[in-house]
Amino acid sequence: MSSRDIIESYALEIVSRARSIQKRCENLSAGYYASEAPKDLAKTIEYICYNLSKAVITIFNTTPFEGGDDNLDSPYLLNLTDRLIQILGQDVRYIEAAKIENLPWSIIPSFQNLARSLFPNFQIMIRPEWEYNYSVDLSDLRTTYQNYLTEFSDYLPNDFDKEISSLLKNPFFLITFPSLEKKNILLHPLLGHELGHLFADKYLNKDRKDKFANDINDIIEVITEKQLKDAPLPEGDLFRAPFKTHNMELALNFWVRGLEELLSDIVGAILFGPAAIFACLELAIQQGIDIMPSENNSFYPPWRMRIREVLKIIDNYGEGYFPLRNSNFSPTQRDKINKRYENIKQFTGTKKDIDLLTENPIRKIAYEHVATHIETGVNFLLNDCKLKDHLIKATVLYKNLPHLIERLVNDIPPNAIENSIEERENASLVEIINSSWFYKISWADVVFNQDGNFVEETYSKRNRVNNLTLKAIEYAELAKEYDEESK
Amino acid sequence: MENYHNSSEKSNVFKYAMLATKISQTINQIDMNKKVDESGYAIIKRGTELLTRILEGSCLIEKKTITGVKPSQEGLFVYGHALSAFEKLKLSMKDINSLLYKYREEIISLSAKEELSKDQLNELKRFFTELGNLFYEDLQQEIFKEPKKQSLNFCYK
Repeated sequence: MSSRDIIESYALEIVSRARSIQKRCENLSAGYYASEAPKDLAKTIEYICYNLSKAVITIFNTTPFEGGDDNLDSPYLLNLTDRLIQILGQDVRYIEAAKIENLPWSIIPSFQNLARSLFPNFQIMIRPEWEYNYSVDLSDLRTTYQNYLTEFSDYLPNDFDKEISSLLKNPFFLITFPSLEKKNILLHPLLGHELGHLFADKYLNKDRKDKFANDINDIIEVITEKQLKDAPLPEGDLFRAPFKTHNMELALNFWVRGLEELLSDIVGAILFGPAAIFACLELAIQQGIDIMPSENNSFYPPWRMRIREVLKIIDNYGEGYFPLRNSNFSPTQRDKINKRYENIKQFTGTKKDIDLLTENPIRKIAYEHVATHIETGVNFLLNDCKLKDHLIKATVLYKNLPHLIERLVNDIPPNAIENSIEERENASLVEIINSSWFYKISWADVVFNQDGNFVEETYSKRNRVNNLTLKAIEYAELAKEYDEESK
Repeated sequence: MENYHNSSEKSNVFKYAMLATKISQTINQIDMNKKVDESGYAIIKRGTELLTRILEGSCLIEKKTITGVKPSQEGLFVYGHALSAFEKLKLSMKDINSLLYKYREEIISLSAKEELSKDQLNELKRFFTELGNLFYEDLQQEIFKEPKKQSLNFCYK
């Protein structure tokens, strides 16, 4: 068997893989989803795989089989095509996961509406994954696919990639949440943070990144020279450029990732008010509050810093959220919520995270620059991104919250403010989630009884609140749609 | 350093891997006096864009100025790969910026169908082959990477 025969056989397998994905996407296109996004994605992947299998034939026919029968070096372009097909095969999991039975589907329309109001020209697909991870891929999938296909233009008919723009008509983004938390509605304000990434990404444009790189260039050189001096290497010149490049990339990662996360948290707080800070705290407790950013944790800033910045937004722009004085809340509710607020204020008042950040010289310089950008970033979000219009003030939020909490107390979904049959008002997503948080905080500290036993009733109550909240969001959305259609 | 943070960066790595491989194959054709059509010269021309991106990173790190090249952090990733290619090819790291500039000038000449010496062609071919290999390795790393540690698997973006 010659090397050509082996590669020919390999080409057969690549085409088969592409066709297998095509078939899978065709089947998935017929499934049930909460939005059109998964179907559009399935059709796009199907189309790309169809074209890639045709490209394989051209690439094979133009591959130079040189160097004799033992030379298997030549199929690099086939390898790359195969790799792309495998990547697309992996992307099919996004569609599978978005099947209606895998999603907290009752909140999807409401969340999609929120996303649409912020990004009218984007298509956003929500999917669960088994990994415990809330995330957004900042790449527009449509542009990404077009980018992948750039170098295939030599093997496929002209304009083949333009079809992608008609299959995915708008920039396409994926938001992921942990499957485990499908019903934990109280953590879903974190999806507001994920939407925030799309704004933070706008702030962190090329000019700002270039300016940061230029501003720190000299100091990075000094740090690099010191590192080389402290660990003398046989040929300094050989290592100087790679070392400095690595340090510069490190600084950029600290700075970009720090700002990305902090600004996204701020967006979460603007959109969801106090619920955002309570949800952040819940996640922070799981992960540790002073874990320093590093290559090992994708450069996430420490939670203490993140919650401190969220708190500033709540305090500075919420116009009197805390301490809670509104007499429409019960004294127990007021006490418990104020206690939670005080705890948050106390632990964010400690600067342990900032001290730890300074232990690494590159991290120190990057975070000094992060600090100088927060205020500009907040102004950018409120004014340039027009998030000022979405800012929830205490007086507005607290108007209906006691009524919605009262419904929860009576095991009624908090979907509307109904003082009488004639006087009915739909509750908003933000009001529903905040009412559930406020309610939960007022009783959820009774987890163990005096004998140290786990209180099963608290666990049941927690699940009941989640279910009532999910139902409320669904009912409120249905009522809103009904009202709009009856107009 | 993590190779890429999102699918857009990954698609760039893929694009560069494919382009570098195609450039190296086209230069090989020229070197063997085989006929190269217009699409082949168009591939070489796209090599200028890749080298300009590498020079953007080089100018930033080495604080150099080149007409038509604006130092930028956007070039750091590919510049890092170019440095690794130099290391693998055992080329001098003394004046990287000048060497990259020379490569870019040669690629511009080649795309204009000007002749280069055998040595020049050979050096360019070796550079682009190695660069393509390094980008390809990045893509392969994803397949062969070790499972993440549990504690690191716990991320929130």
